[in-house]
Amino acid sequence: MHMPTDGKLLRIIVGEADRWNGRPLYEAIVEAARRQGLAGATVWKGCMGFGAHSRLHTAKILRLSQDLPVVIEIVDAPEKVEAFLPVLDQMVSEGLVTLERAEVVMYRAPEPPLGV
Amino acid sequence: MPATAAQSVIAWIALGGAVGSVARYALAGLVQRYTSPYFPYGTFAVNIVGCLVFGIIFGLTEQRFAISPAMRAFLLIGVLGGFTTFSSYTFESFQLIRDAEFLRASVNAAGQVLLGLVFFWVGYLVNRWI
Repeated sequence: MHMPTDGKLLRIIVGEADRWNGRPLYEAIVEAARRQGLAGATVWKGCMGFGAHSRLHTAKILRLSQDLPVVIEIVDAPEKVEAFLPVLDQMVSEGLVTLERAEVVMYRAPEPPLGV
Repeated sequence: MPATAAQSVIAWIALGGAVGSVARYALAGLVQRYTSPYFPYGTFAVNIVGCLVFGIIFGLTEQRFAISPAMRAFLLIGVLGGFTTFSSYTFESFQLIRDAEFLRASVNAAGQVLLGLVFFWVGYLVNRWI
């Protein structure tokens, strides 16, 4: 798969307890990105943070460790990332979505074996 | 103990555990909301309150026999068993040690044991003034 040098980085920050159609929202977003043919997605789990409610979440205190932040990062060509935004608009009811320019230095994958 | 009596005690303990666990969740959340998120005040408060209440109930049962065995099982094993938590205390102490916060870890580990004993004793003595 080819990716242009000038890409876009899409960052989606939600809570690990957020759900979409009965499953974790971050999983649903990764699946949706995969279905849409985006180049890849990575999910990070945050150990501390707060959101719009200013309620602090931290992995250190058991009672505050519910709904820790989860960050999903997707890098791809600008038009492909922008085409994914309406899908996100449907799915993310609470969270933060940012978009920034990304200079793609490498995007490599092994060639699939012949006949596959 | 007859089978039906044993079953009844287990049912009371199960009910008490449910009450205690929900109470712990609520109190720990309330305390943690109004205190620093860098120290496990919620678990600390829960365990100290649990020791105080345990002392009061234990004192009542030992000094006045005011509580039936089933009620004692409900309160001490069920409610306070579900309410207080050794595993959360251990987990949060471990987290502080892992982050090299040795002073907070020591205050948490030693403080809960020592204050727990003091408050248990206070609860036990309270019966003399009731």
